[in-house]
Amino acid sequence: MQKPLNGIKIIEIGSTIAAASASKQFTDFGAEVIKIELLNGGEIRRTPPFFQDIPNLETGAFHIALDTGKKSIVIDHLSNSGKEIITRICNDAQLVIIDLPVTESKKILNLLNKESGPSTVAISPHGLEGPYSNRIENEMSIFAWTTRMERHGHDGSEPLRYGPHVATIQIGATAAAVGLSIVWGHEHDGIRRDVDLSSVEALAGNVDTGYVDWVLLGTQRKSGMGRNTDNYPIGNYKCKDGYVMFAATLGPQFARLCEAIGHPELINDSRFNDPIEKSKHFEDFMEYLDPWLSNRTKKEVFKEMQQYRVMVAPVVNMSEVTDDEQAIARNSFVEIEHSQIGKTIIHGPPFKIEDSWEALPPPDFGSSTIEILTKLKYSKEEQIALFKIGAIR
Amino acid sequence: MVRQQFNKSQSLKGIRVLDFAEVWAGPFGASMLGDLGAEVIKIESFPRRSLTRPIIEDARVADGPGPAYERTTSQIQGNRNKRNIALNVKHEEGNIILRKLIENSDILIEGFAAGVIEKLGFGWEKIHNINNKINVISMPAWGVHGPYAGYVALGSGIEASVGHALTRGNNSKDIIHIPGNFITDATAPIQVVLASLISLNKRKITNKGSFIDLSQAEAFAWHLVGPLGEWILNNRETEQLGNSDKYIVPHNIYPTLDNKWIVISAENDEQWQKLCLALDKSEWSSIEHKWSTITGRLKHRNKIDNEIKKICLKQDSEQIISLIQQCGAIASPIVDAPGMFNNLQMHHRNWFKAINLPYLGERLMPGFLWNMQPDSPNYEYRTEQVGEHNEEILQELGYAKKEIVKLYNKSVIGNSYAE
Repeated sequence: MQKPLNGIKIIEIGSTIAAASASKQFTDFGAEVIKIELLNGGEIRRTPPFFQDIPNLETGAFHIALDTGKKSIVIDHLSNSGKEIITRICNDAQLVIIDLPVTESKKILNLLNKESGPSTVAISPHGLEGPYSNRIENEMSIFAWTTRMERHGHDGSEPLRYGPHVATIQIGATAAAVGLSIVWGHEHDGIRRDVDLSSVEALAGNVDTGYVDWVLLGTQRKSGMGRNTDNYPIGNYKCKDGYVMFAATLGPQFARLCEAIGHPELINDSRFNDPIEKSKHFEDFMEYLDPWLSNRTKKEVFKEMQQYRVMVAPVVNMSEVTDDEQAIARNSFVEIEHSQIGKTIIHGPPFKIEDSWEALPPPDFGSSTIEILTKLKYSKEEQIALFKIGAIR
Repeated sequence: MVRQQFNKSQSLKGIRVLDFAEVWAGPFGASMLGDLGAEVIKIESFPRRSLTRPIIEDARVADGPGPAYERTTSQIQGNRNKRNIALNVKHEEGNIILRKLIENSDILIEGFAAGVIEKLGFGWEKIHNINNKINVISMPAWGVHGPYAGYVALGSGIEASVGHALTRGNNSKDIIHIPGNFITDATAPIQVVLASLISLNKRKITNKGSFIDLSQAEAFAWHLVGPLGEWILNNRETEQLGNSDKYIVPHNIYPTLDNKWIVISAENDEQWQKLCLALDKSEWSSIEHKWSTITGRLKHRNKIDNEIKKICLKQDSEQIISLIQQCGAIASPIVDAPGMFNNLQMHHRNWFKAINLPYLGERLMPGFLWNMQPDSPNYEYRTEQVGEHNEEILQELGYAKKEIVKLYNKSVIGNSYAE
């Protein structure tokens, strides 16, 4: 099967979760991705969880899920010999995605051929230049710069991050989107482009920021999706076997919900059809909603209410997600073969387009080092010398 | 090398996109394609007002003259860099106009619940018959196929249904207090851009357009690598750890003297040493001290958190953050919107863009998700008003001015809604 990105060559440098997430979106659609790995395996191979809780560069969940189908070469990017290999690998690629400390990224970017070399996407916390460019950050501190953490507190209490690494993968996906567009652009107009992707801007510039509300309304709002007893139902509600998430406060949504629970008379009930009155009668409404919910599982609530087009969804954990009938019907999870642990399961494609996506096994650490050096015409003696000084492994 | 300069991005120049989507995820994906240089036309619902322009009791409508539906934050935020035609596609003549737009486009993005576009008479087969080169992205909450096809949700429901909600929070059994969030409205648009480009690349091979079934649930689910890994590799659910990290101490938020919260973290022994220096507690990182090793720090997590908290409560946030950063460990403010606006780095990079909005005047709107050379993204079009480009678009399709007037008279097109 010829895949959409066959013939495109991408180089990933930095061994971070963000860079691996970015190049995954190329490799699974057919691009050749060479992963230039740090000597110690880097964040992508060292981040838990690990298979059976045994730390191992090959068996971490992030490496398994996000390095699918790539080739791995391990190079000391700080040494001159290593830098020379990197430039030779990069110069016939269409795109380089790099995520190293800013000073190191800049050194490598400067070595690439600016006339005929690859387009580049450099991922960093705050961008390559400017007063904060050398600040040290991690996922949570980056997230904290973007308004989301402040808004995401529980009912207005302490700020709270999202699930670990979720924001980082979003940053990587953003790098993939702009990266693939500049590959397309280069092919069509001959202009090579350099993207300077600040992780803070990639998150702050997306649509779910609180900034726009403030600049247009002059006020700030919390998430707005927590439990609310003034306008309801919104947020998580308990049912027979867990919780469901409602977003059914507004006119037509509320009306459909009243119908779904068998109480259409509540639609025109003066306690609930006026915003001020409604805010005084949460407990009254729960006398209708609670019994209905407590007799039904979250899946039953979901399915019955969706027949009335009520915005409600089950709040589930991973065992439930992998067994979910929609996921099974759509093959939302796929099996891959791993060199040490055998068959394992990862998430399937981010979108479905016929005959285009396939997740191949992730590479063992440095498994293509010699093959790639040989292709670049490094002699056996040179390869041994590079190995001896620790520039490769 | 002297590089040619441009006033907007060119990479997707020549790609024509129809944005037939509402609310956030689809429209913002189309805007991002516009940011990259594609020519995007929004087909705005008419005479029914678009869901991206809600006028409801707690809606976010900015104060100003003119119609309220032109001042809703969701519309202004999610619709830059596109032109707008407000079209009644249920009207026979509107239907013809949509056909013509489809004939001339490379990508169509539709964000209705599964099955709705078929009812409008523009299912995939029909569109493909009109133009077999066009790529169509359908992006319902849980996708086009499967038992949940046609189900409706906001981002908060979608993220709960794929397992994110239960990974957030402070190990609380009280799930009622985990608020929903709209991360899927941010992740789906990114995948819209990728799906567009993948389908354009595929078209080079097949010479035909593709149908893309983009489930907003799946477009986000693959971000949950950690929780899925815990389940598949070790048969257990992810713990809710709040702002802490199972393997890094310190990794938390701390209150400061000026009533703010800040992030502090030291990811390894070296950063710990630097953090101790900044906190004037160098003894904590000397080899004799039980906190100098990662295993020691894991064992004494609560004590360390308490000690750092005590120090933070005696200092202003800016002062302590700057000291820790100067020494070489991690510290950042947890900013709200005005705080983000005070980010010197973003100003240095000219991230905020002064845009003149209809009825609201000049506002410093958010910048772009990436900076690019030589052709940085720009606001070629600020958020468009309903039907703002009707004439321009119809003239390009070959309609004469007189015909356009008739289309207005028959309410096939419009440039205002009944309020």
